[in-house]
Amino acid sequence: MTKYLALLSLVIIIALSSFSLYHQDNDIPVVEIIDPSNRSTVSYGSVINYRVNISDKEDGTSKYDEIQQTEVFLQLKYLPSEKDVSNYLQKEKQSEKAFILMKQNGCLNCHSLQYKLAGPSFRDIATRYGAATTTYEKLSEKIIKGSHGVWGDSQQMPPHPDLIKEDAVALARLVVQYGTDKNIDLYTGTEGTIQLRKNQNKNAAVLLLTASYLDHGIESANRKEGRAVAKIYLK
Amino acid sequence: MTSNSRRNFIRNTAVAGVGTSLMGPQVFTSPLPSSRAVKKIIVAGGGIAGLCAGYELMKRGHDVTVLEASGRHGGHVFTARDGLSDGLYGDYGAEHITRPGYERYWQYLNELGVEALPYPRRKNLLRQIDGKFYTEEMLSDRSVLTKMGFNLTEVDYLSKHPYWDLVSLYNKPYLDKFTDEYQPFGVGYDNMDNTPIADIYKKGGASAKALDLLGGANTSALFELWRSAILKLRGVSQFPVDVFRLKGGNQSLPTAFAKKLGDRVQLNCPIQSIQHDKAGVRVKFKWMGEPQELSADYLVNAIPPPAFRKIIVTPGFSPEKQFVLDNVQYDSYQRFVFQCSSKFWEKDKISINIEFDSPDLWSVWQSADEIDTHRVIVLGTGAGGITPQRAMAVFKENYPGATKPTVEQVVSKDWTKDGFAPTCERVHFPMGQLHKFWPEIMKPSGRIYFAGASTDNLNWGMEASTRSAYRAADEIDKA
Repeated sequence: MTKYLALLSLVIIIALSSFSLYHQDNDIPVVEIIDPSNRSTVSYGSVINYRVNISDKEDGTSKYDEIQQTEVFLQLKYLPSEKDVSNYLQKEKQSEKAFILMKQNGCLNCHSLQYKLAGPSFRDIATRYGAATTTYEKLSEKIIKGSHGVWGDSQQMPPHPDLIKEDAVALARLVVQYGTDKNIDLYTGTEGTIQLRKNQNKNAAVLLLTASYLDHGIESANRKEGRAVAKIYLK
Repeated sequence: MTSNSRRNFIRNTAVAGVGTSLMGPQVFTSPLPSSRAVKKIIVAGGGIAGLCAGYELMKRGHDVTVLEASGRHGGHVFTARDGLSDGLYGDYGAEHITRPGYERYWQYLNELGVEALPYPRRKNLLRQIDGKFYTEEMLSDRSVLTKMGFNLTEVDYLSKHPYWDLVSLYNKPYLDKFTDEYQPFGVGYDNMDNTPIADIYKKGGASAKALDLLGGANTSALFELWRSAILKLRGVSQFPVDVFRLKGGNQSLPTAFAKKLGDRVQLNCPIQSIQHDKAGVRVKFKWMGEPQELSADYLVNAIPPPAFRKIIVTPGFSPEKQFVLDNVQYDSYQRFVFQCSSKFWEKDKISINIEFDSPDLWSVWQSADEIDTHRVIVLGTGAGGITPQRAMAVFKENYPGATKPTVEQVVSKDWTKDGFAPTCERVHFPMGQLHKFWPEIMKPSGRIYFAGASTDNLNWGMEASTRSAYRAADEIDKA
């Protein structure tokens, strides 16, 4: 009996170690905005360089070019004053999940906020359809089933049959949200050059930079997003 | 360039140019080296257009530097070999060339000794329409066409002409008015830029089935008639069947340009900003991660506008030029390379040139058949964002023969995810906006000239690239 229990314990230990070996957790990527530095001040209309570092235990680091450039995003949000920052960040949390869905489904490979890529810009979509529950329903259908011939005759949007309706609606909401917000921009890549806006309307005093990277998880499962925020003062 | 290397170059190109007089009309022959002053030119982008512009300028004795952001030259013209067996390859980017239609491109093939092979990828095409496969014979059968919903005129026409030529039934009467392929305006159709081409088809009596096939509800009639007239003026059909590709892959031509250019092509040099004035240009870029600066007399931008927008240009462009750069639109896709262990379709006595009715995998055809192996390459085009495994499943599920496709592996290039060259060919200009794009898209802006797939009249990428590159080089040479 003792021998049997010892053998059973050994089997359990091996099984548990195997479990821990094959079910390791995916770490959250570490995202840092190196340039411009947090709380620095820049001039309206100037050209600034940005640089973001990404380090992920599973995917690698941007230092060694192990991170796909098109998977690193830098969101720019112009805000009227510093006191709007916390409110905005709170509000933005509600769209975090939809932004992750947008990355997972490769939406931003063919769409951008203000320019036409292979697909129409989010601004053109928002202008055409407006912001309404019926719009989200209609757009979610197009996202799931695919679309062709609405924005031109030559390019088609592939269907996304694996998306559940709720997620497709969330994506549609974010498309319209991005499309209607004239104080937001989105860049890709770990570094680049930004042409800052001129303060024509005297309505932006703070530029909030949010860098993010969605990792590849363990064998594409349990993907996690890392974020970093920098607050830049405009003068 | 030193005077010695300039002399050597002139001698070499003079020899290379001997055969060019055998090619096509005079306008596509190679010019003699320029006797003008040597100019310093930076070419932004080392795709086929940038390399061609660099080569053409170098040939005329100018001092050229081509800056390419990625670690390889060729851009979208990309022949893949990695991971494929027996020396097989697949063209990830550019597909084929025509003759006539690619006169400038053929001139460079001849000049640089690059061999083209017949590419029967459009012969005996099998088309999947509403789930059912049709051979070309079936699509010229009156009873089949009638059953599909075409009207009597269309059935008559398609029983005598190829299926792809239906559009000619409706637009042919309009095309003779165009006499200059670079001039869409002033031929009597200027007021048709806001008219959908589908209205022209309807006016001609098109059936609902024909309208469904031809589309055109969102395409300007002026634009589409001009596009068809360009084909007619070049002597090319709406869907050229006798097409060609390059032996060893279509990247052979950009590679030949790059070989001639030598160390004038600098890789891993992403441009960050461009300053320009009446005297010249100054470019800030990175070389192996280190900041660099280079000045020149002129710049040829051969970076497609969607990527070029990320570069800060000071002073900015005119509103007219900026509109073009902000609004020109390209398509993008994914190319699949299926490595198969046999020509499985031969057992089924069907063609492997297939157009699928699937949003994931649009078409397949054989390539690289000059490689001495029993294995075969079948190329496919489909949507971005689809995994190669899913494309393979679609291929196997939709393949119309009884034999199971013998796909050993599939690799792919999803251009929609490419950081540097995600764009393929320019799509139609939006309705009512042709005058905003044309001819502005070709025009230089001060000392910045433009070349690339979007900067010519027809959107056929490789010929548009070589034509526009030649034009930019010629204009700078003569400036």
